Amino acid sequence: MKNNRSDAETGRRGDAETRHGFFTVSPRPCVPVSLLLLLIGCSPRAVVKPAASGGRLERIAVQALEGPAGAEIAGEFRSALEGSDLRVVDPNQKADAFLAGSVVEHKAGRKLLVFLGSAQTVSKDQTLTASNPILSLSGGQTVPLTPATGADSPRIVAENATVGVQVKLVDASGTPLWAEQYSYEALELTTARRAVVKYLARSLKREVPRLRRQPRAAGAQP
Amino acid sequence: MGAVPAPNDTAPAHYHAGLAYERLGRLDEAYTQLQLACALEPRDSRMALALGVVALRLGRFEVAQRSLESSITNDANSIASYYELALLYEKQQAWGRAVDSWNRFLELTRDDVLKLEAQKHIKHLESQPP
Repeated sequence: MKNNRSDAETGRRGDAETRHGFFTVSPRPCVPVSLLLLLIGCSPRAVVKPAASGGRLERIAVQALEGPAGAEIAGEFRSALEGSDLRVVDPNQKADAFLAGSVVEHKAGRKLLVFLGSAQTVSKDQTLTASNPILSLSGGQTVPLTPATGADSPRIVAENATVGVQVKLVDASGTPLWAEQYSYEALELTTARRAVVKYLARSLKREVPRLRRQPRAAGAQP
Repeated sequence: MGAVPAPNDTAPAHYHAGLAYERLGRLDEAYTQLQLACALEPRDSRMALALGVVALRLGRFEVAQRSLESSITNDANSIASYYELALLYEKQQAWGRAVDSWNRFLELTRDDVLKLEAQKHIKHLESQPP
């Protein structure tokens, strides 16, 4: 993509210089106009081609996401994009771009360990006392905990939900335009899903004006 | 399914019986025992936290909120209470209270994974409407 962009920029600059020369500092103003036009036609051109949508981004179709609850989450995306200046259409209708992706995590019983009471940790030669610490079970604690009282601390399991989604926007020719992923934790799956969809939809809406301005090379990566 | 000895009528006895039921996955019985413990010892932060955690797992959100708030009233450094309360406030869309809880949690916790989680939640919530 960088190379394409670079070529495109170079091409545009070349174009502009040629036109500048034609109108203001052309050394041979008496050259026939038809010849000049021919020369301009042969000058370096941007390899930028309009995308299949012609750069227009108004009608967007949200496809069902792969993975657990993919259809439900796609429905939430449709709702979240309503009210924006994008028109959400059915996936089998003509659209300028398609939102697709997958649900990479959809877990209701994420477990965390709660120590009831005080526990001590040693950090930088300091002994710190933590009251009712909670630990992720994925090894996030940098320093082991020991009960402050010398006895085993009672423990209890807390649970929450986590949802992770990755989405991409592709134009009608399949060229990727934008992609993002996000995950969120909440007490319940519905709350986590809502937060993820809201974040990604907002991110896409923010990106739309830039996508509309940007000429897209065929086969370019976002 | 293991047996849990019948507790005598003291707060610690109900508390330990509640934790034993929780380990067995018998959350309704755990909830009852922890409620009895908290009624007999309303100023114990650990008991209130344990009840709050079990109430959340059972979806009894009002009891959970009361218990977790009581837990931090009795121990302002109760790390897990802030974590659970932050998630509960988010569910209630009480964004400001959720951010306060996440910030306090961030000050207290030493778990790197949960620190990152708290930072992400704070960033997410700060973009919410008031």
